[in-house]
Amino acid sequence: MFPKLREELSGFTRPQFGQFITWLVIYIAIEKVFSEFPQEVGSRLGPVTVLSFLPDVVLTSSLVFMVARWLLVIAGVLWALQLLLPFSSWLTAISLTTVLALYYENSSHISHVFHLTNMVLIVHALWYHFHYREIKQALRLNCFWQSELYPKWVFWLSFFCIAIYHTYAGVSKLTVSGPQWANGLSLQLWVYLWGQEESFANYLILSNRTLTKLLQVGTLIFETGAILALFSRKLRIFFAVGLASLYVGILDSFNYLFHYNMVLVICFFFPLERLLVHWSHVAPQHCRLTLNVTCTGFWRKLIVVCVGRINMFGITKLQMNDPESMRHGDS
Amino acid sequence: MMNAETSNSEVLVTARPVRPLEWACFLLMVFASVLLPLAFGELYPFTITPMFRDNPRHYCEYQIFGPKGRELPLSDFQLQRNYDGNPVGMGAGLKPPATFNQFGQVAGEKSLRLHLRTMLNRKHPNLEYVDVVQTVIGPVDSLTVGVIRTMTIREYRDVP
Repeated sequence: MFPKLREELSGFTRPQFGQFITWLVIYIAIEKVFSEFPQEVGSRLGPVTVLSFLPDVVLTSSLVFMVARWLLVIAGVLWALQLLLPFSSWLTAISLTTVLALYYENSSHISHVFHLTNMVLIVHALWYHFHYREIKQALRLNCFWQSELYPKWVFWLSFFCIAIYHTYAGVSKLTVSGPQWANGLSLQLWVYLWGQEESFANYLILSNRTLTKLLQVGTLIFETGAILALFSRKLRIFFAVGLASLYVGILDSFNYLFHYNMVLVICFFFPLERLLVHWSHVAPQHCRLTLNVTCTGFWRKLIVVCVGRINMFGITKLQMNDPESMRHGDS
Repeated sequence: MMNAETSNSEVLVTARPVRPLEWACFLLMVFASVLLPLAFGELYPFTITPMFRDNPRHYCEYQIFGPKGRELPLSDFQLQRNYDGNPVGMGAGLKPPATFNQFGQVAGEKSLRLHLRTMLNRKHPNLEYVDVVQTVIGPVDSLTVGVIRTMTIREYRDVP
């Protein structure tokens, strides 16, 4: 069934894009995700997260939250450094999901700022889980960036999660309010209530309902149709521009924390993956940086490991010099 | 199985082919992302993405003052706004506090007076009366939105 699709999903590419995305979502997870346990009270609703099956004593525990938050930091750093694989990747995915799930379990409000980060991080943890042996071998042989280790299904599954998130946003509006959602009035009311005063976009929105109506029609088109971006490269650019513009408008109007969603949309909808792989082939031919390594022992090993981890485009070459021979050469 | 191959004096590692378990995880994630939001609405990290899906035509803002003219917290009289763009309570583990102030709805004077008297009788027996300012925001003309009505009412507690 669907042989072409299966063939596409079975392929592998160089890991520049996958590793960049992994670092990106780990950074967002460690640096930006809530670090304070909510202090709200109220009767419990449920189920609202994949952890809702756990007993209340766990779900309401600030200690569990803090332990998960610290595990997230430790495991995230280890995974970013590609150490303790695949445990660090699982632990990062599990602890991030736990931190966010416990936060929402103990809150009377929800935001949709970290859903995409969490999903993309889980998918990339699956990559490390299924291919950690090859990744570790490539790291040992110092050829991680040259080896085709990034499964295409990881890219497509992450892309799918991002696309369906936006499509459901459009479908939700259409099913609850119908096409008349785009009447200009509702957006004007939200901007009047929560909009930033110094925003030029808000000035335009509040002064002209016809323009606002057009913006809402555009929102419905770009959100609902986002899933179509999976099937056509041309459509992908169309939706990339539309969704990125939508996020720029949201950030300017409301200053919600949707920066991370916007970055992920840009990374997956624009052809960044192909661009990074292309650069990894081309860059070494045009740019070379030679680092003379004169130290020995542990420090030499550390430099080799560190440079190997970040030498994404293969432009850095290590020149190993023996300090003894250098001293003789100087004299 | 994985192997290391040498090509043009460069060592490369070949990934092992995608295994059935990988396909299973792939399909599981796809189906979960599609079906769980349809079944539950919100089941973090799966979401139906419901923010701003409603279509309000107006909303109310309230201010409430005690007999000495001091402004009182809206939550003391269940007049706070719980709405933040998402359907209230959806996806959250705790039930939001009860409120009379439903975004998108304009309460009439009669129901507002009834609510205030109930609040005074039940929760604020030390207050003789409260003054409430209800401001309705909605379309002022065909182009813009703004304040379309302001109503100030004084409601007394029932005499015991």
